[in-house]
Amino acid sequence: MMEMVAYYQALSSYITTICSEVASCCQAEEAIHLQNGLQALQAQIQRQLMEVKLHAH
Amino acid sequence: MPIDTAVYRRIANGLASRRKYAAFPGNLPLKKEHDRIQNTLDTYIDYFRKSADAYENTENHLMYKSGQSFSYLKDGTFRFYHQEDWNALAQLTKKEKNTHLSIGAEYSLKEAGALYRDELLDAGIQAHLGNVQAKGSCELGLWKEEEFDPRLELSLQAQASLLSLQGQAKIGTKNMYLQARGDVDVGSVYAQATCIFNKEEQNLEASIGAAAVQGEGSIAFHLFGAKVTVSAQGSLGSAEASLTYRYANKEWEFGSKLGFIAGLGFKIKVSY
Repeated sequence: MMEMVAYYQALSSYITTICSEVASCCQAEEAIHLQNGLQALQAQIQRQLMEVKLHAH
Repeated sequence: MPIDTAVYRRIANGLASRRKYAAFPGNLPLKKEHDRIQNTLDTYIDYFRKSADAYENTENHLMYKSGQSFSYLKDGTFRFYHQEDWNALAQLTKKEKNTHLSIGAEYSLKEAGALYRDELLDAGIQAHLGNVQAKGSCELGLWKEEEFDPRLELSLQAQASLLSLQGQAKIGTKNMYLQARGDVDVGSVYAQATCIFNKEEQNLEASIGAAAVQGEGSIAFHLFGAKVTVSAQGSLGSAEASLTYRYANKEWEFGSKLGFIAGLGFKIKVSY
């Protein structure tokens, strides 16, 4: 379980990096669309992270 | 604004190297949610790769003025990508960092496309004739808490289709517009396999299928900041066979599915 906690934390951090990258490399409308989707994915990862942490203890 | 497709490909490779299989034995909700996250990652990997291909295929069209159309027909190109994180030093010093390798290739006999742009309409269609795609990833870990605990995860996917079509259109003004996107594969054969081997778990999943027409599409309406999305996917004239074998924590499962148009399957699960 602790391995998965580290995995979700690293994945969430990478999604944050991508969100800022798409702002500079994509056209404005596409960037907003992607950022909304990536933020939803990040929320999903955070919820899973909390669940895994609960099961780890 | 110039589009840097190298960034798109780097993001796709970065996401691909962060895919991970997890079984969560005895906890189905966690497993299902993990699989949903991995499926979403796959969607973004495909999006960034396909967008990079589409931008590269049509970059000449950006030079065309509003109201003009542009079309092309060319010999297919071979595309190859790979991502390697060997972490050799970490493996030699008994660290828990995994070695990750991912590789993929795509080839089409012919590629064609047509695009049109004016103040209210921006539409394009790309076609790949005789399209073959294959991708695979491998993750290897040797140590856990400085103990030798080998873990191997392999994933392979391949697809061949007679005709692969992608289309997108945007109609409307800046504040109020309709956006549609669709992917259709005609005459496709696909196969995928996943293997997991470690002390606690051995898992093998394999499936192969064929579909006369397989596609997915979405339509989104943008009305002054509000967005409504309708999406669908389906196949017509399809057949699929799958095989699973899983052993983890005193529980094994064997399943098979063989279907034509509508799938039928069975699953046996034993716990002790």
